[in-house]
Amino acid sequence: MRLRALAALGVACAAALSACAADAAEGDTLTVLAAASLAEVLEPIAASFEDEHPGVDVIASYAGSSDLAAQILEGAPADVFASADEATMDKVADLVTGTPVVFATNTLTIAVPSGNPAVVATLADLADPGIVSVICAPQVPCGTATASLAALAGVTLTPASEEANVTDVLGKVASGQADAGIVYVTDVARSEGVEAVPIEGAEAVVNRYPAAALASSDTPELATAFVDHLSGEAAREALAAAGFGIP
Amino acid sequence: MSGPRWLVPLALLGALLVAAPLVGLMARASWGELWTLITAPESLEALALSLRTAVASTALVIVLGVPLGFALRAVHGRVRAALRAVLLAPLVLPPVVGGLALLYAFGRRGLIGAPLEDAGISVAYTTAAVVLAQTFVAMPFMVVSIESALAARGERREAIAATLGASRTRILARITLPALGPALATGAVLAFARALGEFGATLTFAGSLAGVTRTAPLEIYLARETDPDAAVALSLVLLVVAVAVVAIAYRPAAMRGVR
Amino acid sequence: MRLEARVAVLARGVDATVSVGAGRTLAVLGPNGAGKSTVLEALADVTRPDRASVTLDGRELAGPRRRTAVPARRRGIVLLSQDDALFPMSVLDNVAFGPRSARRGDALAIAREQLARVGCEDLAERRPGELSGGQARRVAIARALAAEPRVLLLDEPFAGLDVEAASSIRALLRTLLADVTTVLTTHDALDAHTLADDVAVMESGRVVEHGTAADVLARPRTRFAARMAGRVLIEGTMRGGRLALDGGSSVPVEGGPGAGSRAAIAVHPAAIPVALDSPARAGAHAWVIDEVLALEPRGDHVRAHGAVVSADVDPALAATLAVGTRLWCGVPRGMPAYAL
Repeated sequence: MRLRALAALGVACAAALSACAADAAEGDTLTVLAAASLAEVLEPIAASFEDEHPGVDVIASYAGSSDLAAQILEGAPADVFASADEATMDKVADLVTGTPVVFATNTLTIAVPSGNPAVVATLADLADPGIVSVICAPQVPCGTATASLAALAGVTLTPASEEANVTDVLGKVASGQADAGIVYVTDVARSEGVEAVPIEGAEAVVNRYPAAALASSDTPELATAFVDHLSGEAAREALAAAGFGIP
Repeated sequence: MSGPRWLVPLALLGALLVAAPLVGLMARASWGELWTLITAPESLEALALSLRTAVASTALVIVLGVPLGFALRAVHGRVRAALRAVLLAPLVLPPVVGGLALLYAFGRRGLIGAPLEDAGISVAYTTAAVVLAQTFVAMPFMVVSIESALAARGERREAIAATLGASRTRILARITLPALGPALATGAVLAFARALGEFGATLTFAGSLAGVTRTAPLEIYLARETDPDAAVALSLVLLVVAVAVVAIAYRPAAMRGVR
Repeated sequence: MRLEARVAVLARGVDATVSVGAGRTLAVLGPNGAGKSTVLEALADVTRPDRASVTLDGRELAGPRRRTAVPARRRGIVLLSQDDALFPMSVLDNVAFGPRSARRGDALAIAREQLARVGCEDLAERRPGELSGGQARRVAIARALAAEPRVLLLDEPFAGLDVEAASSIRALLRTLLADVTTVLTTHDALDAHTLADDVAVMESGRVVEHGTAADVLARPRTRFAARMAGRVLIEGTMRGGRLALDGGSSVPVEGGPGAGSRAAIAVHPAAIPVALDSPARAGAHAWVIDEVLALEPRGDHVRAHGAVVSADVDPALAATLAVGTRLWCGVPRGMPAYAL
């Protein structure tokens, strides 16, 4: 008696789950896993893709590139992966079709609270113990880039905090908890309460955004078409407007 | 007390829901390297910092939370209800909200933080900030524990002690506090666990710098992106602590020295 | 130390006036729920009275204004509650808790001395949970005395004890209370008799009679007080050497006020024989007819309450009685009469 009731429950659950799965696999839906820094710019790009492919619905999911790579490795059903760096794309190299295409670039800048109260002018100012600075931890991509740039400039940074992602760096700058932080140009462009102080020689460390269709996609043609679309005219305009560099 | 039989499958499903993630975490662990991962310098540094700060905040929670529990018993009616709601809020507040609240109070531009900053005292980005954040979220456990223990025991012995000529301080030290021992221990253990697990408020408010503010949960948060195995290993350590703490805090009455 | 007090705790319907002279013992006598414990708690400031006027040797401890009330710990009025309320520490530490302004060593010495007085010196290291009911009560008494009380309040000191423990503690208190100003509560006239100099009878939160133990217990003025004293009050009007009862009969009495005055005799119900039929007009009793209003089972006998008299009846006879049964009751001749 008890077992039968449990079995019935199990069947009900399984039915509910397969219904969800069926929805996600509809032919006219394209799931894009995209780096968090692409969150705003990808909306118009997806819209123009939908215009060009009537009946297609683009669903984008944003998170840190490493998180997304982990999800893909764990078998998340998706069609396209747009990463914020090539190293992360390399981690899922076995699960993509074709060669990843670099569709955007990004460079670092100093972010300061609006009005720049601590009067930060150069990267060297961030070595001043009187200035509270926050950067990305060297373990994460933006931190790696920051470390490279500081090394190139011959500056030893003295951060008050090494954050796990750009969002946490921006949050501390925007709230005035920090006098300065190092983030990507596009991050400043999409944030309120912060302004950019350009870093001389920032172009020496360029971050590349690769995109690729995933091997697990049910609609490989559509996925490839979206990757191509990212390098198209409409996408380039939107990316440039958001502060990205175009390769 | 056993309910109708149809409760059984629901209970099993509930158990599955709770146990599955824990089992999943253990299944994901690379057991062979576990010791190496836990004893890696970054992990040890984070664990040591977590331990230090959690001990400090538990001490603060005892020193401040016990008087708060008494204060809650001293007021009545709506005042008590309102005060309780405020004091217990951190218990149910989303961690990030707690972080924001701390930021606007003790941050560099905060209500209290700004004047402190002008006086040359900087809380942000220090280990003290971590302790502050942990104390904020852990305090309610002690307040609740003390208040309900006080409510349950009445004040008869205290009243009798007063007729014997004892001062309030003497009554507190000799009668009330000893009687509150078990409640104090439970509150302290739960507060310690909560402090050890504190993440949101620390991340928002204290920052993340190895050895200074990067506690174990923050290290997990960081390692999750770059070294998932290390993240899982540290998570297991915290999981073991959590299970141990719950086992102690909710131990059977017989083991609490209750007669 | 003379204690004069009036305390009111409205929530419990208590408004009582009591007084006790220096070194004397007052028994507050009343049934359960009469408010006896409340009076003691209010005197000790363990329960906050709504109104209180308490003076000890002329010094005001509580008056019309709450703010000026002396707090419990400065009153020197020690309450020994029914539950003993021993603290979770050793017996010795319990007793050493009380001594005022004594250093730790002195307090322990006093505690050992008091424990010896109650015969519990060998229990010094025990915890309260390891004591029998009688031992716990003795320790509580030692603790109360060690605090050198100006007034000692004992709430039902024999409640919850078995017969042996109760009688040994009764004997102990008779010696210990000799020179301590004491107020104790009890529902037992015998305790009032053996321990108290004065008695205050409480009914529904009020003190209805207050006087020396001999006076109140032997010459109660109300049916209630008589009942608490274990007697039945037979009221009437003096007619020469007889007491004319309200029912029409009369009984020869000893002494009493002048003719025409209201007077009463207090008789033990057990001393009143009963009969269903008119008994021979002889012997030591004056027989009066009464009607049964209520029958109260009391263990091995039944007390039949009539309009004029109450009498204890053996169960065999009681089985034939019902409310409304007419009964002959033999009131002893020559009982001392007193004015009401």
